Amino acid sequence: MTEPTPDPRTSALLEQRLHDLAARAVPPAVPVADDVARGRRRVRRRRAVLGASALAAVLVVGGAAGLARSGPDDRAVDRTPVATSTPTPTPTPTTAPTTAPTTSTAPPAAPADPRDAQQLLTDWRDVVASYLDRRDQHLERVPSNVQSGSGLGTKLGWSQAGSDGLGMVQLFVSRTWADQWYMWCDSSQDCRDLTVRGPDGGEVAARVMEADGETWVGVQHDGFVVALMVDALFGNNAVVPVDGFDVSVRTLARVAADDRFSMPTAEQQAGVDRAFGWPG
Amino acid sequence: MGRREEREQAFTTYVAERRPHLHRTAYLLCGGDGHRAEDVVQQALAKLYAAWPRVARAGSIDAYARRVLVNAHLDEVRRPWRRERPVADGLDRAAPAGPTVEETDALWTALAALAPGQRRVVVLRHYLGLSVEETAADLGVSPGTVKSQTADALARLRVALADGATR
Repeated sequence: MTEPTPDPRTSALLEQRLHDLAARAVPPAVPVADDVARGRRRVRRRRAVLGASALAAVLVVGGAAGLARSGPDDRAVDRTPVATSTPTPTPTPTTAPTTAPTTSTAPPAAPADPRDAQQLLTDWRDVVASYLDRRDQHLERVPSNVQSGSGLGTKLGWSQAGSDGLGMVQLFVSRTWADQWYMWCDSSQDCRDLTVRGPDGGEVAARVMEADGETWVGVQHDGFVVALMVDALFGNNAVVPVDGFDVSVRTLARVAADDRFSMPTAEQQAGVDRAFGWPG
Repeated sequence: MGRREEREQAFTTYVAERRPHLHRTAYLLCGGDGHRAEDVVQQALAKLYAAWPRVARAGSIDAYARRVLVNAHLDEVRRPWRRERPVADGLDRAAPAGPTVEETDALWTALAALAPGQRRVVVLRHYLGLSVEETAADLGVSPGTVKSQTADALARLRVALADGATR
């Protein structure tokens, strides 16, 4: 079937008239900085969605494992944690940190830890507060959310009396650098290394990644990586940045180097859904 | 200068230069609704920012910006609370130069009466000057669909254009 051919005069007239119409549009005077800010927020949201997707996959797998293990009648009494292998859908990083310390492919098994995930995150929160909020005035006291999947972490609100804004401290502990997908470096990010004094007085190498208004600092421990980020705007929970929230990367590195952090055990990771009341 | 600063500087330069053009395109896509056009432009630029490193490396910034703009318009018209309606009032009118207000209104009314997808074809083909193949690629339809949509749209617009030409 042959398509009808538009009349060239009609086409030419339409082009001219469309340009006339478009020329009458009055583009609003919008500062480019507003477009940049909206772009940054989109990047943050995209990252949050990626994290939520990974978490949802873990919950589905963990829930399926739990159902396979126990029937409906014994679920209430059988509280033995499920030792899943946490088959996380970890995307392949575009560029893994090049100067990060290498991690053993067969990491040592984490020692037994009686704390559940909620308690573990609360303890980590206290570690963060011991550096950033010694008077316990700003940092959210009880972790109310969890990031899981390729590791375990949480986002803690940071408030300031007299300010309507809400900032955020985000913490994520994983087995390897590649699992720290927040810190992947590509050409849009500024990544560098930093040396700070560790808890035992020795030097500790940290990695810093800055992009989209966020600053992440990560430190390699023995068999796991601790990474932290601070942001004056808790993107998912607030629209107003908090005032006076300024933490140096060196301070963040010292927090990340603290030896009270540990790699979550399989039991702790599998217990995330129970600790937060999610369906298993 | 860090990579993020470089990215933002390049993005800022691009937006400063091309934002008016993107707004005018969105203005036509939205049938003359300047507020909705601005919403579409803002959505498109946020997507462009997020994709900037990849798009800039590929050297396809204009093409990508055009596509996200069209997709943002598609998303816009899919929102049930923002269904399109023919625009008769509230157009952003500057001082007339060229067609009269009556001619302009006739064409706007005819454009607004087109299905949004058909209007996208018209804008891409006859305002942006894309080929049939380029338009088909941008809209994710076949070249045959672009041709038939173009012919049908022109037939519908012909009366409004003729009215304007004979005034």
